[in-house]
Amino acid sequence: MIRAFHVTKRYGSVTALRDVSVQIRPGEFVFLTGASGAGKTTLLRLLYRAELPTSGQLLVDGRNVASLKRREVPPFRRRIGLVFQDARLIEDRSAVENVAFVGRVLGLSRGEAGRRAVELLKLTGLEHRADLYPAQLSAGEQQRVGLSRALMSAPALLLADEPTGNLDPDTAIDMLRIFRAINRRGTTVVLATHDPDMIAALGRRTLLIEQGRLRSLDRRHAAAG
Amino acid sequence: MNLQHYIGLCCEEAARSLWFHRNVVAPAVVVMIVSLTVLGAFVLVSENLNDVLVSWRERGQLQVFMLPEADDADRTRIETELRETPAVEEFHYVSSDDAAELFRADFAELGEVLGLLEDNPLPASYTVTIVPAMRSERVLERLSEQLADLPTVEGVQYDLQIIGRLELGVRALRFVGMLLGGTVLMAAVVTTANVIRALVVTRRREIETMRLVGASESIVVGRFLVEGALQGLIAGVASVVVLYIVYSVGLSYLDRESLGFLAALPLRFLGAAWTLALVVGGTATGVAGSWLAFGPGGVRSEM
Repeated sequence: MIRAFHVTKRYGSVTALRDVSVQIRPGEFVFLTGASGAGKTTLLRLLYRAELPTSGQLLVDGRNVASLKRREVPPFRRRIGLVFQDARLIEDRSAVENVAFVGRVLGLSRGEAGRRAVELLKLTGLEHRADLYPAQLSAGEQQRVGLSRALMSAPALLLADEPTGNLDPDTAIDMLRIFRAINRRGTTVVLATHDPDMIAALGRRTLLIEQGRLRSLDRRHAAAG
Repeated sequence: MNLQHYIGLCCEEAARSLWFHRNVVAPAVVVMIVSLTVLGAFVLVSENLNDVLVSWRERGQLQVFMLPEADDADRTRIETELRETPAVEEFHYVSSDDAAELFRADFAELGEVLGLLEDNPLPASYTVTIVPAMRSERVLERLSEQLADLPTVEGVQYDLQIIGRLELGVRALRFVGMLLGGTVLMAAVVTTANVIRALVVTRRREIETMRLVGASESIVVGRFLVEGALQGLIAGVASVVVLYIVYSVGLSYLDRESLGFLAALPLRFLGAAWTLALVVGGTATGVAGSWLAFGPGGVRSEM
């Protein structure tokens, strides 16, 4: 699903990622961990083509992200589900409308997009809050709406950047269960977190980024933080 | 995504945005309403004046004024001359007394002035109507020269002379209207552009989110263009309504009796073509404003 070959990303004189090479197979659940500013978000942004690598090759779902034409980027992103730390919901629409928007972009009718959005909100346990606006939802609820939105396109790859960073431990565990269930259905999940408890709870392959360099950790190492 | 779905989605997004940000958008819409109403008012006035000119032109009449000493023999000579002229369809005689009556009827307040004068200053005249097929300035000019040469004719006046001057006035009015309306409309385009630009800047993050979840540029741009178009459409319809209200109220306050012969003028509201032009013009103004704000070189290039 993901193959990176000697990927480096520089912002001026600052090197955010150095010579990153990694392979993530379809259906895998991978944690990406490291301290704040280590380069986790940068790597994710490269994966969904919000940034381009300075050097190296990055293949996502069989596509070389650096060679995608501008018009090819939206269809490429529709194959990827994105969950952000701050949820990034659109303020002027309700939870169900936020989720349905992706369906509309995919070409679904208003009714069909709305129906699927409600189903996805059910999956994340938020169907009773469907008509509320982001400002009326708690951080945890906003995250679950964000996750529902990410699932609207039935993505092959789900990228989550600190999705539990702003949540209390119980809500974070709930979110993690949902991620695991989604992964069981065959979706590749890459979840960036600096929470060792979360990594320990699930015990999956973990990649550590330190000062822009990537290396694999075994479960015990990750759990120890 | 097919075209129908794309247009539907852009309209849906634009309508939602317009409603949610109505307080921000309202000033731009008001400026557009004012611009279009000013433009529409000039069109309304010039169209009505044009109607007057057309009806005058269609009348194809000239007035032959007699000297006070003209007697029955002179009248017979003139009437014979008129009957033998192929361009003349009909004519009728207006005596000096009839002219005074007409004046009193047309200008009620000035009518008393006539009574204060020792002699009636209004000359007797013939109103000559030209055959419709021959109503041209050239024919009227030739006929007026022919009649003016008759010994007891004081002078000949025909409507086309006045119409010519009035047409010049109407053209000037239209020019001023277009200039003023165009300037105000440009201001409306710039205001709309600035409002859309402000909306885009304040919603930069929202737009980025839309892109990240797979919205194409055509959806992001299309939605803002439709939003501008909707603003313009609302302004266009509103300006027609405002213009109609002002026109109706103005008519109800108009004292037609004091207008004299002007009371017979065929006053009317804008026709369907001009009404449509105002609405379409408003819509185009909104799209132009959006394009200025969000098109190439606009705020999008900074994002």
